[in-house]
Amino acid sequence: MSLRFSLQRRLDDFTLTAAAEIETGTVSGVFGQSGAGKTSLLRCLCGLDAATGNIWLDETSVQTPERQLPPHRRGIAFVSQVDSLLPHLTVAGNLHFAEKRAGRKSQTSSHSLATLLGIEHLLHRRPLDLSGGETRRVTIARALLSAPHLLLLDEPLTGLHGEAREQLMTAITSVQREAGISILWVSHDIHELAHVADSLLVMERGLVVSQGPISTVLCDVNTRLGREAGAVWDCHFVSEADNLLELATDSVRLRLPRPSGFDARPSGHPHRLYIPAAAVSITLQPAEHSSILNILPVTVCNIGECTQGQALVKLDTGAAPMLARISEHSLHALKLKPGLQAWAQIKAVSLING
Amino acid sequence: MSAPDLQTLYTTLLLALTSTAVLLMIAMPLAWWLARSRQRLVPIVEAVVALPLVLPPTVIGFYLLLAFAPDGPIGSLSHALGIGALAFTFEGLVIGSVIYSLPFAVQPLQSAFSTLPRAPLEAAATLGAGPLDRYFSVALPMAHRGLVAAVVLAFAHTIGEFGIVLMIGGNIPGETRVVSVAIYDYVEQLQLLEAHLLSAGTLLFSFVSLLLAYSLLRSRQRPQ
Repeated sequence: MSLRFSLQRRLDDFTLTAAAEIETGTVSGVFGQSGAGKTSLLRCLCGLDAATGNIWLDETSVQTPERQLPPHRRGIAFVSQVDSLLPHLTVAGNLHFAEKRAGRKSQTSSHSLATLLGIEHLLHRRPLDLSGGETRRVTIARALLSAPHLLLLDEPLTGLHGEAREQLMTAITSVQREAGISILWVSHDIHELAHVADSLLVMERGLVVSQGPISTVLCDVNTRLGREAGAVWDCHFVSEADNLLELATDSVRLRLPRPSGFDARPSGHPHRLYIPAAAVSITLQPAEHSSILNILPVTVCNIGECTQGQALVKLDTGAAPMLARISEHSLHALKLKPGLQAWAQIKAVSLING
Repeated sequence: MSAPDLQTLYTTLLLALTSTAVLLMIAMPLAWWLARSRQRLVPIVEAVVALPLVLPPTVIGFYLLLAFAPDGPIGSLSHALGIGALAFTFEGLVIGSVIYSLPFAVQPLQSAFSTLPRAPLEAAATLGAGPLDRYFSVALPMAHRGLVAAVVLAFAHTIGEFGIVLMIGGNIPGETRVVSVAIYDYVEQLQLLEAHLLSAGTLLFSFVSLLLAYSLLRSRQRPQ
């Protein structure tokens, strides 16, 4: 089942004009700065705010200009940023509330959801007695128990830090894979989306300015993501030695310092890496005796427009592409042009999916 | 306590219970609409509902007597429906009490509904709960303090009303004679012991009712 929509809604400062198509069973990130219209888009999709336009879930019309289904008949669950648990019910009561009203059987049982999200011990508690992270986990479990066709998550990790954040991210993605559900995940943190999303919608003042697979959208030389631009690589674990991890794609091997809390993984375990464009520099000769761990032979693919004295350069590594952010001065000094052979020095790599 | 006094007490309680039940049926949807609607009609309806708070009961009693007259709007309707006259009947008293106590049932509920957080109601909608379902399984339980306050105030106010029942009830023993009017009669006839018994009984009953209501609210407040 895919989600297709084309919506317009007048907001205070601009008009939300968003259109996109999202594949079933995937996580789509919605990225944008505060006030870009991300939450408004979610509220329009689930019918809490009125908008003109169309929404199709597979071949079922949820909204057409003539007919708009009310929120309770859309099969689109929404987890908002604010606490929305029913305060007069226990956690178990909240979960049962959703289960009872689900239009179809949930893909995952309430018991296995409670285990996956780590809330079994909270079932008899009242919402007022839960911490922020617990509230978020219960709210997400409740939304999944309503067996929605689509789950909308509005900044689900806000207010969580460190381990709690990692745990919830991992829990949501494993539930998503198990239930085969589609998720639209709003965030203003590109690292978070690089961790969870398969595709990305970038919003600016109510407009979807860019969309596609996350690795493509982030790795576009003319991207409007600014300092968030970079490469997302899916790779696998090879080995660990001297506190360094070795990871590999089909043709490239990278080494990175072992992150704290990293547990030993079997060889071949999948990981995702994020290489910010700002952490990549270009040299025409391979540096010797360098502290930089990863220096790769690359070919310049194309060069973006210079803005504020800087440009993005897309580099072909033989596997997935990557971006380098360099100064306009260096661009001219190195006489970079498409097809040129060079070396990419990768100063920092984040292991974002461990 | 004499048999007529017991009968008076029974009439008073029956009137309070019936009026409270009717009031709730009117106030529950009306308060929800007043709290949620943005229609221009809202302030007009709010003002009408609040009128009994400022009007002397005799004014309402007077207009109700006129309306209950055989050629009045309510009287002609009740005659047409075969119910007969309403003035000086128990049914007439119920109508009078409902109108007089309406703000006491509507306002606590309306205030509770209007302060409900939006997020749980919205979440319930996206989880598949329709409007009626949301009202009964989310809004009303969340506004339970307002509901209890509405019941207590409506009930207590009906028990304590005097002017309006005297005007449209007529003080008929066994039919429309209620405690407040009976006490007035006893005092006028200098039967102070009887007046004392009824007054103390009413005081005790009112106190116990309020105590029960507030205890109930407090126990629901505690985390379970």
